[in-house]
Amino acid sequence: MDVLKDASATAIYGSRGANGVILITTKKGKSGVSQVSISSNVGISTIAKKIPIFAADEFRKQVVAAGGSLDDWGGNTDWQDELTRTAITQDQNLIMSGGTDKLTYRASLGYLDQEGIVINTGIKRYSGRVSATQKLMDGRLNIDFNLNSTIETGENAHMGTVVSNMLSTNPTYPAYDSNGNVAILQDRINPLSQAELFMDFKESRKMIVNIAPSFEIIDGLVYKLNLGYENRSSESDGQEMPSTNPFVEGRLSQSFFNGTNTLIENYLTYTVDFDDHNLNLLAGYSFQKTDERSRSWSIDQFEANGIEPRFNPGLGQLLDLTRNRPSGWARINELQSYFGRATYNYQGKYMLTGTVRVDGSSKFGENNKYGTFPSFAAGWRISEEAFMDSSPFNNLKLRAGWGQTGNQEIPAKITKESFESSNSGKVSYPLSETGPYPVGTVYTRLANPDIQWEVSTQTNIGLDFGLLDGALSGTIDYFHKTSNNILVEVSAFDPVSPAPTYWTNVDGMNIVNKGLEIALDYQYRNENGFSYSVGANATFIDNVVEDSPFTVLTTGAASGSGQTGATINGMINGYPIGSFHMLKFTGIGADGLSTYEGGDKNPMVVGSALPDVMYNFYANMSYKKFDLSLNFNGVSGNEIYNHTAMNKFYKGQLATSNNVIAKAIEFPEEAITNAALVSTRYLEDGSFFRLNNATLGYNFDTNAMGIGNWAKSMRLSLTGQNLFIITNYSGFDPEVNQDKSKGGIQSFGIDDNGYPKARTFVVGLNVTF
Amino acid sequence: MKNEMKNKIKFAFLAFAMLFSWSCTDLEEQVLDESLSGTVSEDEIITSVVSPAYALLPRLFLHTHLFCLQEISSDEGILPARGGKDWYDGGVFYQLHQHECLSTNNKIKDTWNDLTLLLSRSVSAIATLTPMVETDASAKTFLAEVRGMRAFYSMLTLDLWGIVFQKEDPNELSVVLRGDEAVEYIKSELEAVVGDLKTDVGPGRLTQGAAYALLTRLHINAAVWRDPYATSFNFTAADMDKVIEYSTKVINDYDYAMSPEYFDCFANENHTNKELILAIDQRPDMSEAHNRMCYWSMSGSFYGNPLFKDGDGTDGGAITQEFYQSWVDAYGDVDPAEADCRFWWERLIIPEDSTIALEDFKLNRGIYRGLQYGLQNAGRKLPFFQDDEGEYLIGPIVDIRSAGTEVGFIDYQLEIDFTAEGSDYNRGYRVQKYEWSRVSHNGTSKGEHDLVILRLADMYMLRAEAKLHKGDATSALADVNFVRASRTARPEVTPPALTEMNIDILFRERGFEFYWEHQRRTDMIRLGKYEDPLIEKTNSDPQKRLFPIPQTAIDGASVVEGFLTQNASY
Repeated sequence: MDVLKDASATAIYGSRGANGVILITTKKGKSGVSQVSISSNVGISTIAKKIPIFAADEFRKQVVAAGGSLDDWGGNTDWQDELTRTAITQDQNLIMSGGTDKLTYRASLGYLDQEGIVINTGIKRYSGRVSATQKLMDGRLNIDFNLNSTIETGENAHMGTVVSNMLSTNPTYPAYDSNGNVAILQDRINPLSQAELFMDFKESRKMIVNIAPSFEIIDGLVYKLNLGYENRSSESDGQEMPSTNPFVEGRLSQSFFNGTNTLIENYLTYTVDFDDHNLNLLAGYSFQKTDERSRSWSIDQFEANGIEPRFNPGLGQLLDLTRNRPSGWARINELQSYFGRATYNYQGKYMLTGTVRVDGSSKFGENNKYGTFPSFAAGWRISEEAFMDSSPFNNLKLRAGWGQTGNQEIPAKITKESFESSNSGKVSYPLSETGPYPVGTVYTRLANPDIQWEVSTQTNIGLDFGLLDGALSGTIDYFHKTSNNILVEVSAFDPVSPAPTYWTNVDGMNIVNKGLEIALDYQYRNENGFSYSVGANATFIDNVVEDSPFTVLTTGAASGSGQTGATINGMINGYPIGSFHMLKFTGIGADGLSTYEGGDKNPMVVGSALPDVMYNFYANMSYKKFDLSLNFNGVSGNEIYNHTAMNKFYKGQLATSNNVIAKAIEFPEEAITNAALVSTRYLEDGSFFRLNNATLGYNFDTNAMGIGNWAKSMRLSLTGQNLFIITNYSGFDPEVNQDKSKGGIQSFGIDDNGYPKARTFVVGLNVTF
Repeated sequence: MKNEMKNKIKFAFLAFAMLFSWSCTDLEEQVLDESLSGTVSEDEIITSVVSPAYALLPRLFLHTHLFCLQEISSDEGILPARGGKDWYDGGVFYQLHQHECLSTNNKIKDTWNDLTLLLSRSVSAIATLTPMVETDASAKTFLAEVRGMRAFYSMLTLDLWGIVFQKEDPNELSVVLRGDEAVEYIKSELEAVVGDLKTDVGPGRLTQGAAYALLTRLHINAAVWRDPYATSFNFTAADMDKVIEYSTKVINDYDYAMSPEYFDCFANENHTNKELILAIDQRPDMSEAHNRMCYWSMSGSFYGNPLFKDGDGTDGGAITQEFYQSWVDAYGDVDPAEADCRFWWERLIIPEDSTIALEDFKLNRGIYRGLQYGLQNAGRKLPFFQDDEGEYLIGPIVDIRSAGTEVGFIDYQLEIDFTAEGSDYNRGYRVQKYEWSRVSHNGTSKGEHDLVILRLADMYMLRAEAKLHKGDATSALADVNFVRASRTARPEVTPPALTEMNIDILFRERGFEFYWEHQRRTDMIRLGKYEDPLIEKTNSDPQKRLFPIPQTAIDGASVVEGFLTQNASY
């Protein structure tokens, strides 16, 4: 896997690479080496962290102490335990590869059966892949072929509801009755029943096929064609199983999705080598088309006779346009690009690259379909210089680059005006006493043919170095990226307009990202078969919004009772894009209600969801047949808004017999009618340090075992994922970011019913025949 | 070898060129799921542009749109954060009641968006209909209706924010009018079209009678709208004469009649009630039709229809203590329910065996107080208890929030305010003026009743007010007493005749007749009561008579310098 971050490297990928590119090169067969391998993994996952809500006896005491009304049902239930489980995952793979010097191939089959740690959740995935490379005409013609197909089925309880129940449900409700059956509760559905009766069943299929012939026309001139096609489809059945006791009316909602993605790329490259000069020229053309459609509908009210609605929707008894109106959408998007690149290299010491790319998208209006994005890079291998012969550096390279990329991630059709014609209540009105309602026609969108590409300009300077004969190596990179012509949905300037908002490029506003990335790696090997490598990398990043004409662009819509219209994030001049903009909590006042700095109508910037530093370090060691690798990662300097706590963990909830954590009642003088507003009371430090992966492996010596004739290698491994985390964040996990976007602007750092995180141990066996 | 090479090159370039031309595209965006040109057939064009100009009226009259701006900001309605959380919504209802609104108040923004969108649709309709007037008679009628409705929407924006947007061409920028200019513009529009309106297409559409009624409303409020912050308004004799002229015209020249049963004006079948002059025609199978006027004030443990177990209330707004006191002060020793038919209509008669048949189940109407009786169930939205004959059990309504150990019942208390105690779910007397929809499955959608904009009683009351301003208190008293005496359906509670009339008594009478009908704030401002203190309101700044223009509108308009300036004090 390669990660490309600088502008010049991503220039080849155009707008799709504006935020960086991850190149995954799948394994290919090797000529002359035929092998079959089997990899089998079995994992056990459990909930990594439980939220410290009250146990039943403590709950009984605390509700009364808070002056609330206690609903005591006599039970003693830990709902987190009841609604989570130890989950088993198995992952089996069969891989065959091999080839001759003209044809190499690789084929694999995979089966994954993954249970979720929340009850009644899980997916199964079946995948098959074939890749082959054929060389013809004395190596002049080379054809790569890939076919990849996946089928995935999932049966899942509604995660949001289950997590919500897990945290808030009164622990005095018994989960089971005296006969050991799931208890029927008097005034609500037992969360265990709810997780069984309300489920989503989904099946999705994906196929990607890719063929890439490259032909060397004459010496140094190569033509390459890349043809790719992807087809995806899925059906999702959201089902509420009808039941008499507990009472559930029954409902089925279905949605269907189809999508295709076609890619055609042509490249012509010419390489010329003379004396110490090397020149490589590339010209290319790329076309991509995506076609996606979705439809959905629903039907209500089923008999509770044990038949699942999804097997016969016709058994539903209630279907009317106000409740079950079908809906759908269909979108086609095309991208077309022309690009050229020249790379020059002198003595392998001095390198210069220039790229120009012209990108066009069907999303933009007549006037601005195309954008031109140039980029340049230069490199100097200092270590190759004569004066560096005696230096300790075995590698020292200085790099610099500058480039522009475009962004076209806006909704489709916004450049065009559009009308809605229908007899729905939004546009129709009874103009006569009898007869059908008239079809009403309205503008739904103002045309904006001037919408154009959002442009990011990036500069980077970096130094790669190696010391001690390559044992110690590292890179330091400085980057500065400015995005302008930002695309945002704003209010119409004339209030009397067909639509209250429209998309536009904001004049003058910039979003600037700058920072430093440092990576260091050290390797050691001794003659006794012991070797290790350690390394670390860190990114220091600073983000700021400049010259915004808006006072504040709010996003991060809060939800829950009493929260309509409240927002959590805000984009303001001089602050990072992921800023939190809300009231600053200063304690509880004399009347038992919260007090805020500047009063309760004075929101301000109080922190950011973007970290100041992100870091990672690893240690790998191997000794004879054993190997161990450890990987740690972490961030610091960011905050997380605990929306779950705001909705669930406050005194008023405890007073009405809902479960809370101790922090919710930390102020004894707090009134039980105190409202939980969006404020810094629920804004927490989001820094963390995690051991995300530890793997211990043992490589068997198949010859010594006597099976060397058929098994070439055999490896047993034990992996632990998410073994420990150090954090102050009180929610399930600090790596969380729910989508609470509003008005087309994404939200940042909000945890709203985020799912519990698992700790997993995997035992794997890998045998190659 | 050379030939081979040449052929290879030719082949490669040919393939390249073919693929190039095959995949080359002009990047024209294909739109599959929306109409870019709104095609309807010739004979549908007129109705297709007119119906959108009416379509959003139910939404405008939502409990969280125009209703709360006109009622929660007045002495008739109050909404604390129930139990400290429900309906808090960022403090917007507190802002409205205390006259401390921020430009970020989203209820104000939603109402603004509704009205500006209706104005825009009217402008588009007028642009389409104007060239058709020569050739099509129905186009002429509809053009008059749309211009009249546009004038009505402008009356609302003038009343709420002190501005009118004048826009004749959809492609041009609106002109912002204030004060006298704005009043004259609306007046000229209504006067221009009134002759072309029909008389028999109401109350769901604008009729000639409705246009005269709107003119009546315009003239009585003109003094306020010309100078909203004035210490005292200049009710000119010319305006008052016009009020008398137009209201008399509506009363005499058209087929309107007072409804003997007051609450029938708000029944599910009120579309044919002759007292309605202009109303929003709601049909339950239209997506915008709502039952919110019925569900909002009622308790979350209260259910309005035995057929639908999901149709509960929501413990929203309640009447203020001040408003209730005005009834008590007016009727002294006699309980208001026994003195005035407009206060209460007992319809839920509980049989001896405590079970009631579906056809006998009717909700009480008016102002709800004290211990409540209604449908019974085992818990929230669970099926109602029925006996073997299918009759529904009626008993004291259990408070779902107190279930489990100590069972409590719904018992509405008078004292409601913003303190912790005064914000509880059972605080405040509630209102059930409109009739609960017979087909609403969830209590909020599928409203059947038409929402009243103007009715005949208002013509008498406004005529009385104009006469008072002209010094004729006797005549004014006669009109007010006529309204009271018209309610003959329940003779024991027909409101008795009053003996004297002045502005304060008129103000009180308007409260009794038009409570919770989207009018109170306008009446309070006009009759000089808006700055008076309430239990939970002390702000007396006359600049708070107008609402702030939403910040989103100010921000959007800031692209054009000086186009839209914020109202004073915001």
